Amino acid sequence: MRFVTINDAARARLAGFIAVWLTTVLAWAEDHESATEILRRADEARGSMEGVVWSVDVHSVSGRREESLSFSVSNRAYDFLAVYTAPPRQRDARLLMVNRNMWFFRPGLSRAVPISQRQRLLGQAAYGDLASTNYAEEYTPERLPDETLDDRLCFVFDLRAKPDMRTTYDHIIYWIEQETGLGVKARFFTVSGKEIKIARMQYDHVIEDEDGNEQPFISKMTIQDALLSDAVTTIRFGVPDQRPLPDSTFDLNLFTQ
Amino acid sequence: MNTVVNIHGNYAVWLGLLLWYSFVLAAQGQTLTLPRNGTARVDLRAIGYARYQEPEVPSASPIPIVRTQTALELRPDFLVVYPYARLTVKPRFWAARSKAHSPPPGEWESETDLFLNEAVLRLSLRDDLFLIGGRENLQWGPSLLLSPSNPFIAENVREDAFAEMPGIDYVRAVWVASYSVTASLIANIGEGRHDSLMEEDFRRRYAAKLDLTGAGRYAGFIGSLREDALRRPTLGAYAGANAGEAVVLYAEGQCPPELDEFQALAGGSYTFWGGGMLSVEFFHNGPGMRSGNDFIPQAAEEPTMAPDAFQGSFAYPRAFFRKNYLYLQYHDTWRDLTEGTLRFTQGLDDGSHRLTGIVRHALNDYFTAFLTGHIERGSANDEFGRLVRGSVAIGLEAVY
Repeated sequence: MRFVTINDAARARLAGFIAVWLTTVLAWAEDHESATEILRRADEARGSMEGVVWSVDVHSVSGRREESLSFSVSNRAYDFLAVYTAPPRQRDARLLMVNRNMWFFRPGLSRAVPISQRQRLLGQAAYGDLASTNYAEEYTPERLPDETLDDRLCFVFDLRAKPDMRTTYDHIIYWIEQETGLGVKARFFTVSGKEIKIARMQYDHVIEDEDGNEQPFISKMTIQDALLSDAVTTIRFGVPDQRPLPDSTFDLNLFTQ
Repeated sequence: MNTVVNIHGNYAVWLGLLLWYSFVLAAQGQTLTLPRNGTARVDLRAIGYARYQEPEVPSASPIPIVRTQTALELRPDFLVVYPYARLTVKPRFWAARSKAHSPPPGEWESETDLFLNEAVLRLSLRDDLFLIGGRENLQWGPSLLLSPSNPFIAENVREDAFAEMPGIDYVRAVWVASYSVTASLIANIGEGRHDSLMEEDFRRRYAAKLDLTGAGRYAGFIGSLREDALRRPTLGAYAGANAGEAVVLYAEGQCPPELDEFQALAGGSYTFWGGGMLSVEFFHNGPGMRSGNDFIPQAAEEPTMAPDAFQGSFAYPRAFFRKNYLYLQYHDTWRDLTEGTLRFTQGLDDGSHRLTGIVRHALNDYFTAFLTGHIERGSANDEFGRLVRGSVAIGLEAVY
């Protein structure tokens, strides 16, 4: 039987290597943890875990052309039920997102049809833009150098969709204001790296968190086409009515009735 | 000129009153507040259209085929909502002038129809338990061509842009057991307007349905019994999953006691960045025939219409006589005002096919114009193209 023996110098070098490796891993884990925590706090301002009912107006401008849609939206965590309220020709059409499965129905259709989150809502907005964000769980963050945006110091993250997540966007660069922890700007890219749109967010609403503390909540999202500078879509979120919503609100068996 | 008036049952007066009241409500505003925290609303839709169909069969044929038709349909939808109950009522008034191609050409014929297409009461016994009864269009599953997992009615009349699915009388209980699991018991207790869609006799059926929802995937399992074959259950299932943010994959099928008569459909869709959606489906129909023409009606008393039947209340042919089909659909929207849908159905056994195009253009917030057309190619013994060569239609929908 052979034993491998190492002398003191080699032992010291090995210990040094392990120490450096551990420090690096722990620093990465801390940084990664902190990035995920920052994203989670930003997500909380863009959706309610208990439930919220609000009106949502979408307005699209492209050149001289303007279009608008309005919805009544019941939103809980990352699920939502949106019922079109305007214009009259779209009234009572419905959109359901439950556990990342999305269905669309409108009067005249024989039944609900499954759609992907990429399906366009109006102008530059996708149906997935109505949903709460869950960037902390769905994306792997990489911290980029901090930037100042409108005189506000921001964390900047490069977000890549995790392989098993069915996200609306593959790649996002996300600005989070350091003082408030709110996501204020996002650039969205395709898998091939082509930039498709840029969004800016405002938080003029307030809701109560689980501990009864008030926290800012999203009120407006402005989406600009990355190629067509005059194509802008604005999503305005009405005053949120916080209330617990049961599972049945998001059940497909009750969706069309 | 002949005139035919179809008024179903004794409720014509009530339906007429409902129609009249819908105009009154619609003129007054959007939502009425009712006592005890209730609300009432009516959406008023009216559709007018003109269609021309080019028959393939000679005018001496005993098979009744309409050549030209103009029609107007009023479709008010009433909705009354209370915290624990929800009532939907959808009466319909339809009036048309038609000229037949066969049997031997006749005069213009006028027809009016007043009927109740849907009327459903939904009671919420608890947050997770619902009792639902009445006449409704009960459909499920992800497929576009048809829904083979549905033992009550698999067809969906998608080929006819103007038709509504006729309601059938059901009772069902829905228990939302958890976020991921829902169980339903369903029975079709009455024919409803079943006769306007199906040639075969109405059969009472009972079904138990279990729905499962996972992250980006879902499935449903349906066990059903027909009243005249209670010991021979039919099993149905459907499932779907998101494969990325732009791809949806799904499958659907049913397995009756006669195993060689199973039906299965597999499909998927891809959404382009511009918003267009391309769907592809393959359908295997176990009971179908690879060849032969036994399905072709030989006598006038069998009220078969062309697949693109002129009106939803016409007898619709039992769909899909052959074994294997390929279905392609492309749907897109331009400038948020114009929607286009192209559907192509290929019979893989006899080589016949059908191409349907539908364009909807919003003129303003209240009016939408339609243009539809379809062509069929096949021989006298094929499924598509044996009765008509094609059709074209224009229409206008108004919503208030």
